[in-house]
Amino acid sequence: MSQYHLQKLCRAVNNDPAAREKYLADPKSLISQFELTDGERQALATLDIDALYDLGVHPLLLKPFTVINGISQDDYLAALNPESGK
Amino acid sequence: MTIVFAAGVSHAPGITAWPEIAPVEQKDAVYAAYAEVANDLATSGAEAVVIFSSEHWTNFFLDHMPAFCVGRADHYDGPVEPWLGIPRTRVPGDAQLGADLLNALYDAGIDPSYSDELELDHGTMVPVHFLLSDNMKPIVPIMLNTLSEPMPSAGSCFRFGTTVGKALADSKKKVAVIASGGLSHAPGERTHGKIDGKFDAEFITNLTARNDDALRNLSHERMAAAGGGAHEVRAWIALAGAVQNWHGRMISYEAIKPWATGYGLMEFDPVA
Repeated sequence: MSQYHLQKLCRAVNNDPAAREKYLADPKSLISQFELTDGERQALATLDIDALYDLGVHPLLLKPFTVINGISQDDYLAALNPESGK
Repeated sequence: MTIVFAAGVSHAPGITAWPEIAPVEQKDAVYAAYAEVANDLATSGAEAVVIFSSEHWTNFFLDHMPAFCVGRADHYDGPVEPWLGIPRTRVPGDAQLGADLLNALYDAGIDPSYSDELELDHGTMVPVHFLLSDNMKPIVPIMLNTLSEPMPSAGSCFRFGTTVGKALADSKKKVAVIASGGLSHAPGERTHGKIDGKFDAEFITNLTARNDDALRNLSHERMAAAGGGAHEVRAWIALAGAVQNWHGRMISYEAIKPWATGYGLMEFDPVA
């Protein structure tokens, strides 16, 4: 049930200024504080949006999380719809 | 009767976060509609504003997800989102009115959660920014779980709103009631940008013609099919329950693809 913790991390980055600052300065340091699987850590480390979506991050956590990571809306949608091409 | 004003508004964050990507005529139409609703709210003489709003993982998470939560604080801070394009501010709260509503709900056998410290995200800050910035009144935010299954049914939201409406009718204050959310949208989903015009048109008609049975029976599955954000129309259904003899009057509806939302603003008028 680490989907819970994966979403908890995204929520912390989205909503908690201190966690956000820590994440933006050193993502791995914040990631290490959460109970995650290797696959989840890998998806976070590489900002693999499609994988994070499939791992069950709620769209209203994932979308703002990517905004904070500087990912444009176009890139977000392209990542979620790889077959549509871009 | 002390509900002096009622309106439903969409709150999708593109309106302030990325206004420039919408077609200018659509953006202008929504801004003009918000200005019209703000003006009508101001001239109504409302002394406080109850806002049925949507939780977006700001106050609640899967450690605790209430179906309904009534704010009972004397102020609220927001927005929580640094990217929203609305300056962080402190919004006054009407703690007494929040407490009165809670007591009335519990007396009626409806037992919501309550909070003396809610943070406001775009779901409440977009309407506060556009409707109250020039005419600030204390608010009572009422958060609905429109986010995580299971969610309160449409019928439950209507019944909740009915009880709030009855309590406000007994209040000495003049109160405006706002519903914030919807209409169809699928924010962050693979279908982000999809707008269900048929869903929106039917929902609007059910409010303007007051087909309350259709509102109470709107299924979770039908809302889900119109996008995850369409669950937020539960706030409008609660409002409809609060003002049962009032008919909706559409101020503006724009299907704004770049904001990924069927953007609706509606006022309600008491039937003479």
